[in-house]
Amino acid sequence: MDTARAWLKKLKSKGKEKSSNKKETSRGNVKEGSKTAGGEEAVSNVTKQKAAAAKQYIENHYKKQVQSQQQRKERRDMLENKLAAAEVSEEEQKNLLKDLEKKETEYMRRQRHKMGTDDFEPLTMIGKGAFGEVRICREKTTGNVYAMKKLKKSEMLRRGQVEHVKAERNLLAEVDSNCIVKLYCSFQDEEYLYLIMEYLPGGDMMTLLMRKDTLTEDEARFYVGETVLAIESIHKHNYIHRDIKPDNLLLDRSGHMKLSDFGLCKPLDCSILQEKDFVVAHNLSGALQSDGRPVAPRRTRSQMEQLQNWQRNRRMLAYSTVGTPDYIAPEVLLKKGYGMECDWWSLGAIMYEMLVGFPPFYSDEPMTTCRKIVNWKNYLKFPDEVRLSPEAKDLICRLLCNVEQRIGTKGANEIKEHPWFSGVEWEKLYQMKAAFIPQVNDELDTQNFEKFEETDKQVPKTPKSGPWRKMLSSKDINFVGYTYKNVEIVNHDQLPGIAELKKKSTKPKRPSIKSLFEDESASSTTSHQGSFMKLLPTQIEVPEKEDKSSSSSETLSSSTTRFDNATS
Amino acid sequence: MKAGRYEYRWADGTTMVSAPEYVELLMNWIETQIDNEHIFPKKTGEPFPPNFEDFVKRILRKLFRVYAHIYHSHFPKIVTLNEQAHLNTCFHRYLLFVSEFQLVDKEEMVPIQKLVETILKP
Repeated sequence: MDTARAWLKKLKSKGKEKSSNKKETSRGNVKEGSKTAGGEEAVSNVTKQKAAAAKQYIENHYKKQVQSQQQRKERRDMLENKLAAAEVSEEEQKNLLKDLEKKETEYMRRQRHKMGTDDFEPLTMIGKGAFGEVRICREKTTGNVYAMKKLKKSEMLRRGQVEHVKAERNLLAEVDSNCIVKLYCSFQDEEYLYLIMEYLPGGDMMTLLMRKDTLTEDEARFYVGETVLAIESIHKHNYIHRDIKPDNLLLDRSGHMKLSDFGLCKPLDCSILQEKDFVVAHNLSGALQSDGRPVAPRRTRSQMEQLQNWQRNRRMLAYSTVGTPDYIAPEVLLKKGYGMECDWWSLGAIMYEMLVGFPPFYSDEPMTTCRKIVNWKNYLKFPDEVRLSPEAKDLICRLLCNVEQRIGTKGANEIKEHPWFSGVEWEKLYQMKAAFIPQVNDELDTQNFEKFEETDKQVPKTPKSGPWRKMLSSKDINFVGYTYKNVEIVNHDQLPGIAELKKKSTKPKRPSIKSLFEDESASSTTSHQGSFMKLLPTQIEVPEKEDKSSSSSETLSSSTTRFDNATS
Repeated sequence: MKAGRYEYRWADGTTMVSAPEYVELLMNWIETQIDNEHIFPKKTGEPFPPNFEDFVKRILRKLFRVYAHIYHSHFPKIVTLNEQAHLNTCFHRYLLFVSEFQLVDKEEMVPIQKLVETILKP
């Protein structure tokens, strides 16, 4: 700002000089000045909007540039440190550094490529909702398969979802974790926003629960545990998911869980809730006064009846514009301030559903469900037929409670240390064999997703050039900064150096001759395996890829087991 | 399009257009250049054309005119919109870049010469 002020002063003085030289010019300047001095009236709202959008665009642009520069420096520093520690010859050092420079240049060139729908071949639809759809697609250049989430801009604006959309994109771009579905890139055209994400062919937890009715405590422990790690992961980045539910817990091909937000539903509109909440409270109070004892809610259905009814309504609710309030914390519903602990409430509701068969505050009417959640003290009960361990009940009751008493409020470790998780090896959870391994036949298999009718399969080809420059139209002002590219989609497999360096940065190793040589030998082995794999049939190729990406012996064993199963 | 006493015309001086029209035409043209893979290759290993520098110089020379026009004709409004820091940052970086690699002749920068000299002063 100091610089800006200095420049402003200089320009003003420049103006004065002009006025002293030419009278006619002076008059013009004075008039212009007076108009501007008139203030806000001279600047239209459209101009203000465009200016705000331009500012945001410029700030995003330079922020990205700084980040990229910093990352390049980190990669180079890492390589230099490694070389110094490994005592490689000076000539070899120069060669390796030049090679890195070459790769960085190539990487930057790829970054310039503007992603668009033309780069992807649309395949099967796997999700559909009020705002748009999710579809498998294949990148034409590499043949890689992704999930393309497509959101209609006009619907986002109409339903006030702009901040939600931005938050999702920001979270996925920022958090790089095993437990979170991976975002590869995002872009937009005039009509839609697009998110190109990792395709997880195992389906979602909602589908699994509908198949299984209930899980054993050991099975539930696995999924609840992975959900704990996922929630911990986003909380570390200061994100609150706020809408964790089985639909948003996706399963990869080996059955491990990743947190996402495939739910294409509007967050529940509870603007009427407080009034009705008051009415309910009054009724309860009245009942207490008249009878002299609290009125226990009548149990009209058995567990089995409730479970069946829940399953009938569940999928319909998931794709409606109302959404499923069953997992939302009371403080979120009441629209009081809420914090990260609201996600732990959702975890408790999901755990209850896994073990009991339906969520704890289930009702046919979403609004009734909301009232139950807000009055959870009166409605949180376990059906008599359900046999749960004391530890399981205790954990659920510590999650479904007031914020002040809720476990996890001081961090995920509070939950990890609970007796119900006794014996869980948290660091190995994602390397273990999953409780259930989904049936997945090939990389395009969608049997774990619901079928959707194709009203219009062809993705309309919108020219890439137009929207990029017309980003300042009033419609697109809300979506400035949406475009993003992940290191992996830009890098492909042809530049392994950059991807490897990035991976290493997340798991820093002590540099040594051995590690350097191991990296080299691993690299040569990888390339060999790669060439070998090209000779194999496609069906067998996928498990081998998993072998390549894995370093854990347990995972290798598990993968071998899966391969054998596939063969038989 | 004017920048003080100077006037820029489209199509190498043959067509007189207003500033908004000039900027629109210029941005369209620049985008065409950048999307042209013969000039700015995207695929691995494809070489840049031997006269790549000429293309870059032409783009940056014309972009300067937009900055000159904004500073001469609209700076008070920019200040009203509280956008001067953004404008100055962009121009500052542009200027350092073209100066470092000598991509725009000094004669081209005469319309806002004092501002240019202020920024480039060591």
